[in-house]
Amino acid sequence: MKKINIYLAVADSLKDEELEISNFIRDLNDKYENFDIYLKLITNKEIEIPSSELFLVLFCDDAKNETKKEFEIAYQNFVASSNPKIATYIKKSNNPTKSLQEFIQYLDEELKHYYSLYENLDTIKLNIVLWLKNLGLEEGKVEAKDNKLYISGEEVLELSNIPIIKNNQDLKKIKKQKEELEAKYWKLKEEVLEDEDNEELLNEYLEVKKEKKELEDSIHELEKSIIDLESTFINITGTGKISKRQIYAKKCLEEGNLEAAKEALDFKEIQDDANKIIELHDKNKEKLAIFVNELNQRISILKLDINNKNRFQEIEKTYEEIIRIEKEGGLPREGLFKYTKYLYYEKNFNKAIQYGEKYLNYLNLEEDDTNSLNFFKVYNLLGLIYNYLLNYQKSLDYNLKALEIIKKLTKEDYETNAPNLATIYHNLGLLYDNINKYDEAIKYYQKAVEINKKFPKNVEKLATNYNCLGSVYQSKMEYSESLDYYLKSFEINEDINKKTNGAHEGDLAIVCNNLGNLYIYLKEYDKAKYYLTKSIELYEKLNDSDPAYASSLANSYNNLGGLYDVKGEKNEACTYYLKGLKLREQLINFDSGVTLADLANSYHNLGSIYSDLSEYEKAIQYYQKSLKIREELNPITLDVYEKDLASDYNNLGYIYRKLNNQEKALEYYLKNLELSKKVNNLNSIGLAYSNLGSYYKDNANYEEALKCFLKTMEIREELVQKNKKIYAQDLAITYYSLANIYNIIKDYQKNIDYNLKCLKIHKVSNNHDLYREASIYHNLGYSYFKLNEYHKSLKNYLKGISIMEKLTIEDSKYEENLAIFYTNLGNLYETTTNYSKALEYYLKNFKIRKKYFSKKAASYARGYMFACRYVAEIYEKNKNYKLALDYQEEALKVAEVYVKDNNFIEIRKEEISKLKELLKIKENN
Amino acid sequence: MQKVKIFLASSIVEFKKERNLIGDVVRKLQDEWIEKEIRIKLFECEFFENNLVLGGLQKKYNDELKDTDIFIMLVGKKIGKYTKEEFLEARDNFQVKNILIFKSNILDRDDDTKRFLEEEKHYVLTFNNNLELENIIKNKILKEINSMLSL
Repeated sequence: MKKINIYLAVADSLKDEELEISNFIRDLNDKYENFDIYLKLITNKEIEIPSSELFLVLFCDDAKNETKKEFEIAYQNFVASSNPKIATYIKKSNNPTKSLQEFIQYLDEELKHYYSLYENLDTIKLNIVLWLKNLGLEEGKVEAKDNKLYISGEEVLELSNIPIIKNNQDLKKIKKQKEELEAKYWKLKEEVLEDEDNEELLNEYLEVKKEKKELEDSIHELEKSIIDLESTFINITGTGKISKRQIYAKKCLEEGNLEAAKEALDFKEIQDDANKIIELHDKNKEKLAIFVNELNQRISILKLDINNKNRFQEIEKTYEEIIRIEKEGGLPREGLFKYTKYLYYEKNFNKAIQYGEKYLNYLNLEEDDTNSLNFFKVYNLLGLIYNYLLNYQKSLDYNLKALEIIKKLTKEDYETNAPNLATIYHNLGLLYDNINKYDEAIKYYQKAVEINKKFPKNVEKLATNYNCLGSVYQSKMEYSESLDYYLKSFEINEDINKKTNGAHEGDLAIVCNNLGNLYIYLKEYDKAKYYLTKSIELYEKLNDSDPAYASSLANSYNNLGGLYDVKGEKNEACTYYLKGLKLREQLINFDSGVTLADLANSYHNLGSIYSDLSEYEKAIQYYQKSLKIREELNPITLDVYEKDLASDYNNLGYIYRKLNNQEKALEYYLKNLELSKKVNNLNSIGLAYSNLGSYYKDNANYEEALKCFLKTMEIREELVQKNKKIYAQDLAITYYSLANIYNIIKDYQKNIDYNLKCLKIHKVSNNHDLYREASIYHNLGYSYFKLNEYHKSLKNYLKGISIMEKLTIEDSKYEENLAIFYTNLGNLYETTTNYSKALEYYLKNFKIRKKYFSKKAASYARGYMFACRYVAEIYEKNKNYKLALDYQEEALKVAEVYVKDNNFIEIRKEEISKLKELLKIKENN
Repeated sequence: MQKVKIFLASSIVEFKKERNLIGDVVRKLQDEWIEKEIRIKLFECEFFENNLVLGGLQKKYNDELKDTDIFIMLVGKKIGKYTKEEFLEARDNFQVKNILIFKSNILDRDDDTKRFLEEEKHYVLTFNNNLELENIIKNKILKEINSMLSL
């Protein structure tokens, strides 16, 4: 447990204040409990002053001897050892006593020690929290929002009474603007709910929502800048070296006078003062350090100056001046690093790199220890910058350098440095993930996990590590591991969300979405639905107050649509795809995070659904919209969009085939092939040839079909060598397609060869498609029959029938296929003169055909009439002329009424005539 | 880490000083007991007389009552509606084992409050000044800690 001692010295008249501060410390201890930190407040025990980290002293009207004595002890210790840090407060009074006035004079003139005048305790409470940060307490994110101060999402303090916040004119103005806009916002929201189809109203509402968010962001930014300024100021007072200009500037800010604060720290004045020292070769580093502090404070003040259009230039000019003074004055060149960081946050990356590398050069020249924290910080920052620029190789280089240093530092002081080591490991994991080196990514993520597990304060980071591990295992298609990690991340995120009363919903929504998608892959659709629905609920709630979540919400709608799509619930899928599309179309022009690629994705999904629902015209419309975007998008590399574009071409090709527009179908299939070759993606090329093969087959151009399928086979055999798991099924499909073509062109040996190859893959795959298997056996039976290899034919027919019979029991949609199988086996038996067996199977066929004919005569007449014929012919061979005649007459009747096949009718009449003769002869004998 | 949890219910306006005092007692005790890995947590209900509806806070307070070891109620001139409700929850629903009702030593109490104090007299303690309040609460917490340690 980390313990921090805070000594509180108060005048007797301030006992109520003492109690209030005591309770505040108690409250802080509750907030820091999870981080294993304890703050001990000490009073009336002078002996403990030297061992305290922070000394707070409060004076009121009077400066009593006891309190002054405690102050002296603290001050002497600070001068000797820079510890404890001293924060001195004097309550604003109309009647200060003589002793207090003398004490103030003593502080000002003799000690030159900074003290703060306060009106209420909120200022002191805020300072306590910021002091703790400055003492190195990094645990617990301190954040100002909506006039409150939070530690790790839990409220600790009301800020509205603190002068520097209360009196900030810009903050007041923006808050007023926001209040006025709120009324309009709520009114519009109600109106939109009542009139959802009113596009003009909706656009107005979205504009106002965006404006409201911008004002909220400005308020947060300003609150953050004020807190940062306070923190910087506290940091400076902690050094014991603060100038009158700085004190005056602070006073002006507390009174709400920003201009006076800027004037107090006038750039030219400070520059001139610094130059005097430098030019006189005085090299009084202490004085120069104060000027640098003054300029740093000026930067903090400029950040508050939101109405000053030139403030960014002024800030940069000030940083450059700091850098110059540090260089010419021989001071440590921290300004270079601070400027680099500032430029990074302002997204001025190229300049950030320039200054970052200058700092690195300085360190290389001046620092003996190349493993210092300074090197670590700059390598880490450069790594982040290059990552942002998508220059992963350079980012990796810097991160690896930072890693070496932080590893060494961690060995020396594990408690302090291990969390940074975990961060670098995680960053490396992300980098390797981005460049698809999954095993390396996993290795680094795991190392981050090992460390973060040991630090309760890092629980959020641990949840992120787990989420990333889930994602990378999913990329590797190792779904069981992926699930484990996502579930771990979910558990932690849910727990944090409960503890922070819902302040963690964003991260929870992300992992719910990931789990939902994974469960789709695992075909656990109920669980997928649960998590995707939860993700949507969270995003809908978040989106209400922060439109930055709108694109995530649209993604979640889309994903849920994807779930229903896979389950075959096409109408439900359509509903959610349309919801996602509606949101994306609304937001595309509002800088909301929705991209054109997202919009194209929505159009594509709807194209797919309408295609499945056989609404081909609608499908074409949506695919064309998707295509338009994807063709126009300027991708980073073609690879990024190739797969999506190819998919659109492919699907359009398919639909045009369905609509019998062969010309258009060919056009799109050829585009698909051309694109795949351009990008040189083997898998895509294989698929493109396969689609073309199917096209040519449908158009009875078997020669071209064969060429295409053979090319496909060549490619897929090569791919299987690289990754059998992924590509084996595709290869099996190609063998099957080839077998079918050879069957059509009557090359039965080749048909057998390819069917056997297909079967070999099929039997060992996890995706056991029984229908395919039955069909393969049947095809083999047929080909062996054609080659007069009756024994083999029989064996395969029987295997095929056995599987098809099982399938038919589960689902009667296979019955017609079974009938065909029976017919062909009957034919085999007939050929081998096993008439009783032939009859058995022909009758089985007949039974099925009759069943369907009796339901829907017109559609099933042809099959039925042939079934009658086959039975009749066997009975004739068995000399059962009566039954033969019955079946022939039945066949004739059906042919005359439903099929009207003249050739068939003529033959039936001849057969009937012949049978009647035979019957007469038999009866006479 | 073992915990002793205290739930404090009172008017925030009438008893501001006393609430701070109780908080200070808890903090000082915590300083002593943190080394022995015992946490003493104080949860304070925030009741304002002009609260019309507790709303979502009710659920929050009930959740906190679940594992409370000591329930403290401060009663002055008039007992607030919500303060009374919390007491009833503590006594009946959650069966908190230690219930202390402190009544300040004043004369002008309203009748309802007097009646309540009479009905619940076995829980009631009087404090004449802050030091007495401090000592009673301190002893109660220490007793609870000792009882926890002896288990």
